[in-house]
Formats: sequence, C-alpha cells, structure tokens
Amino acid sequence: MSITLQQAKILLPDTTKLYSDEPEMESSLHYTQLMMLVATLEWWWRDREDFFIGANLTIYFNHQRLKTQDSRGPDFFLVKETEKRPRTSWVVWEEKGRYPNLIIELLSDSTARVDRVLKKQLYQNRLHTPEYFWFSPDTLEFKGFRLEQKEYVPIKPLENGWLWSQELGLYLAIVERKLRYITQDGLLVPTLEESVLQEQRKVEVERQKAESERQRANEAETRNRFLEQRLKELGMDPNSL
Amino acid sequence: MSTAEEIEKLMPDTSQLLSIQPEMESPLYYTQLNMLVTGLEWWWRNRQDFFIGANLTIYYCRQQLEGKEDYLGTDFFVIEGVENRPRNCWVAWEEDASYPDLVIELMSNSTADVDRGFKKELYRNTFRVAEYFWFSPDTLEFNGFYLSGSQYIPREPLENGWRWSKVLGLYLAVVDGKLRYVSHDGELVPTPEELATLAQKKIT
Repeated sequence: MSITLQQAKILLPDTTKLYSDEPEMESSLHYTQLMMLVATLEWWWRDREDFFIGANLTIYFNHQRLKTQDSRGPDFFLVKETEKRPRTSWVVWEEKGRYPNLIIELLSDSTARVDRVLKKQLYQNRLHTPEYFWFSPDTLEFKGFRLEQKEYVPIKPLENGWLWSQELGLYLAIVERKLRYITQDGLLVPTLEESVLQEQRKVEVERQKAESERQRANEAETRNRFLEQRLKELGMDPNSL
Repeated sequence: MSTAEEIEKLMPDTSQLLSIQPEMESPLYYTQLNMLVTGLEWWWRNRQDFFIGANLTIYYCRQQLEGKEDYLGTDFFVIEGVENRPRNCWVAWEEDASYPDLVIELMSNSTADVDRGFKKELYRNTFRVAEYFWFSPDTLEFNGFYLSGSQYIPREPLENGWRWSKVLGLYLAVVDGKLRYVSHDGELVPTPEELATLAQKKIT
C-alpha cells in the first residue's frame, strides 16, 4: 500500500534527539588522541560556524534498523557546510541527507580488521565519504584514502610521511607518536593546551613590556619634576622657557 | 531524548511513498529516457545487483515530507549493489542510505538552470554521485562530471564527443540526436527495439 507525503510526515517520529549508541574508547591513549583531534580543529576553526565534528558518535542512516544497523559510528567525523550546534547523534534524514566529508578511525587490536575492510567498504560504497584516514595510536599505522569517482585511492604521503587532506585544507602527520594537523606551509597547528601556553607566554611578554614602559615613564616624570624644581630654585619660571 | 530501540518501534514504513516528480515534458524526452533504461537493462540483463530509477523521486530528508525542499526528482539514475526490484520511489533511509552512483538529467529550457546549478550541487555535496551527466534532447548539449574527493571534475570528451562512464563501463555518445551507450570497443549498444527489428529481418 502506498502512502502520501502528508501521511509520512505525520507518522515520522522526531528523531533529532536520538541518543548515540557507541562503546567506550579502547584506551586512554585512544581517548586522548581523539580529544586532541577534536579540540585542536575546533580551536583552529573557532571563527567558523559551518561545520560539525562528531567524536565517537553514532550516524543513523537506516530507518528500520536503528538498533541493528550494521555499522558503529566512526571515531572522528567532520561534516562541512552544516550548522554548528551540539548533537546527540547524527541522523542523516534530519540533516538534509548529509554525510561526513571526512572520517578518521583510531585503530586498535579489536577494531583494526573491521576498520580496514568493512568500514572502508561502507564509507566508500554507501556513505561516499570523500576522505577516510586511519591511525593506530599503538602501532602508529597510518593510511589515507580519497574517493575518486567511486573508489578509494590511497593518498600518496610526502617523503616525511605527511598526508594531505583536501577536506581539512591541512596535512595529517604523526608528530611525537600523535596524529596532528599541519598547515599547508608546514606549521604545526597547536593543540588547545599549546595555544593556551602560547597565549600565556604572549601575555607575559606584553605584561613585562608594559611594566618596563611604565617604569621608564615614571623615571622621566621624576626627572622632569626634579628639573622643574631646580629651575625654580635658580629663580626661573619653567613655563616661560 | 530517546534511545534507538524506542524510536525504532515508532518508525513508519515509508518505503511505499509515491514519487512526486512531474511527468516528462514531451515524447522526445520520454523516448530518450526509455532508450537509456531499456538499453542498460538489456546490457546488464545477467546482473541482479542494481536499480535503475527513471523519472523518480529520491527521498533523503525530512524537509521533503514537509514540502520545503526544491528537489522533486531525478530523470535517470543507477545504484549498484542493491536488490533489483520495482520501486515507486527511492527512499534513502529505507535502503541503507544508498545514493545513486550515476545520474543523467535530460535537460530542457525549464530545467536547465536547476540541472546546472542546484542539482549539480545536490549530487556533488549531498548524494556524492560518482558521475553526473546532462543531455538536452532539444539542443543536444551534453556534459559530464566525475567526483574527486568532494569536487566535480569535468569529464573531457574524446575527439568524437564520447564521454566515458566508469560506473557503466560504457561510453555515452550522441548518435543521431540521441544519447546512446557505446561499448569499450566502440560498438553501439543496441536497444531492445533494434534487436527485435534485427531479429525480425533475419526471419523474413
């Protein structure tokens, strides 16, 4: 039996507040890495309002099998050209049909095979995700793929191992055993902590500069007063000079 | 807030939604569409893992149910890796969220701007259709794009104007004012009508 748009509209429940349904991260190593990727990019793009980052969040794309759809959410996903606001999950039909632009999976012993084979197929064939990366915080295995027509083609690393991400406009690279962002000019994008430290250092330098300015001004003022006093003592009016 | 389990029980079966795509504008269009559909169905007659949508609506978001989206339907699309059975429309969230692998829009004066603008953007950025072609049965304008990451790159034609489709494994070519399939070896893929005519000639 067919149904009309009107009927479907009435029947379709509100799924904008669906809970995510993801297992915990495998280890603190994975958790730290994930949070670093999220916080660093959020900070780097702090003036932008048109993206969403999902961290360990479910993507719901099958109506009838919300509970049993055959895929868990990605560890990290980025959707561009969307509204920046908090979400409890990503429900595709509530988001104008949009899927992620980029996915990063953090490999662990228990997920590596699924991430390398099944998820790669899912992201390539169903979600048509333009870029897919994986990184193991344990073994430092690191790979990236870009969708060319309908197939994933490995992204060729630079000699130093960096992989370019068109979607981010940044390189992804392993720096001190962590997956980090690097600008097109080769500068490390600071983590939130590093930014805070940098800012603090800047503030300290500014403070010291201001302090020495003040001291110099004080000294000049004292000297002027002294000179004025001397002139008066010599019977001269400082204002008439 | 709701759990997936609770919501799942409330989900209506929307697989039987009807297409809202308007009828084709003229016999010229209808004939062309028919050729594309029957030609490919014949070419892939031994395959069961694809669906061809002809003049069908693709449902992909709630806003469509509320009549708030500009999109009505797609002239011709192919999805691989799915069950080959008849459908009234394509409801992405009922089909494991599959979107088309290839789209051909049959362009007319009234749809040209939409086909070149809004739809190209929808196919690139939302559906991420691997290959998008348009063809005007009136003016014979023919163009094509393929996806690289999230960008559409123009599919440059051969000197004779043919454009390769990786999804189909065939060339698309304008032959006698019609958009036709041509095999890798340069053979015109016959329509079932042409085959039938040929067979009849042999008998008589």
